Amino acid sequence: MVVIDAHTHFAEKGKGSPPNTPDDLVAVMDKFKIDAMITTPPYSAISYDRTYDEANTFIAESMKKYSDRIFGYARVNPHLRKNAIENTERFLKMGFLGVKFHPRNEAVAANDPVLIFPIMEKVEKLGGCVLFHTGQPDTFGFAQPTLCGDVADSFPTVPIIVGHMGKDLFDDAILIAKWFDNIVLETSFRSPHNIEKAVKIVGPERVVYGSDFYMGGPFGPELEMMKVKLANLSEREKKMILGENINRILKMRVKNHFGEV
Amino acid sequence: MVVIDALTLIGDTLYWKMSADDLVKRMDRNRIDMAIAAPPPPGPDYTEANKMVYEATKKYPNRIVGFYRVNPHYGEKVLKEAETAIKEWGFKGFKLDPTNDAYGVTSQLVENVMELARALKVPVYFHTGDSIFCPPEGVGDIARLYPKVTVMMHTSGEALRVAATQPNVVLATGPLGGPRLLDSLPDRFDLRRVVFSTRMPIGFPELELRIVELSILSEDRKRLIMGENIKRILGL
Repeated sequence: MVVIDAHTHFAEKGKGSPPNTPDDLVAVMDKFKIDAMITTPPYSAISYDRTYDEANTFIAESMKKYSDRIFGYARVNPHLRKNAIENTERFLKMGFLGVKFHPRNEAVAANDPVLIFPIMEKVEKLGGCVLFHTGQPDTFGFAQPTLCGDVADSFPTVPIIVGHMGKDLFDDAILIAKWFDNIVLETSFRSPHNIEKAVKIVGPERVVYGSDFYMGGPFGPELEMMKVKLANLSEREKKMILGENINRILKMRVKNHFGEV
Repeated sequence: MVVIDALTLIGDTLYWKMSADDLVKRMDRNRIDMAIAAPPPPGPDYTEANKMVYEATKKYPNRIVGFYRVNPHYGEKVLKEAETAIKEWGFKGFKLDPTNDAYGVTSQLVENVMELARALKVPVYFHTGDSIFCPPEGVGDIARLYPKVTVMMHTSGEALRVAATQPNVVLATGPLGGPRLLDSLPDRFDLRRVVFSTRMPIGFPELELRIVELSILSEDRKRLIMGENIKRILGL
């Protein structure tokens, strides 16, 4: 089976918690028998690297070194508007699978028509995906899943990955996935019962395993994988969630390294 | 190490069923020695649900301890039953769920239950969350009004802040997202007021136990959290 962690963070030393080298990131994957991770710069442009250029470039170099194990979502600062659109094109052409937005930390509504939609148009044109951090009431106005539903409605060909499945707003996330076929639900921080509910309502094809590593601590990949395994789902459905789905949706062509996990 | 799960749910609800036998099987599989059980929502009348917990405690007197679920909307009638539950039926505490039974945690309805808990010297467990009816800060307010009553609630960032300044508040761990919160506790909190819990069947003991195993807390500290604390609090 293929295991892909669809939501992780990775940065060089001094810019984020370990691991800070591609070798060390791959060692983490090996430890947890994960075939590939899709990773993204951890901190938000409002308070750190304003353009994310260095952070994206570090991941791009890591992707080159381990092209079958390390994949990336580029980050761009929506407030920089023209720069964000240019960087979206630049980094997608470098091989990033898509763009990640953190609406809370970047202080922008997920469906902002001025700051987000022009970037979405670029992603749509170039054929990438978008990952949104979503979450509970601290992010009302910015990152509740329903706003991602608006984006999904407006850009029906772009896979919209709802990070953390909305956290405590998981019911909302599941509903938008029911309504819009391009919504993908990422499982980090959700319980096995929440994952079961998503599969029951949406089907198993658009639910994907993510750990938010290293934000959830060094054992995040193991614990988040355990939640999928504990869910009352068939072995087939678990395999889909743990890797097959994201491999198919983002056309990653990741191969199995560890046999049955 | 003695492992006591400080909150599980036994019931036959509209949505799922958890019998005493089911609970004990899952406890056995996960090497949990004892569990506190309370009825789950929905109510509003918990007479039958409390009876199911009572029967579970009779069937497994060494494994299951009951917390009596009180819906204070029923007034004097439920308060009388709650008193009998402690004095005659062997329940060890009360469970209140303002969100799912629709009342404010700082309302007179809750104060009536707190008065009874104070008189009977039993703890009160509050189900907390984002609801306006029962935020951790509200539980802190009621705990401040009744400093002699042990008040229990689920651990969260807000709950930790409340508990840090309110010595009669006890925090139940589960479900935990990972070991990080647990690891940070010794610097922030009196560990004698933290108790392990899973909220089975909503939570998963396999996951909660693995998180404790991965925690960097010392074995002595884990022993307190896993069972010694709740044993002391309930006089088990």
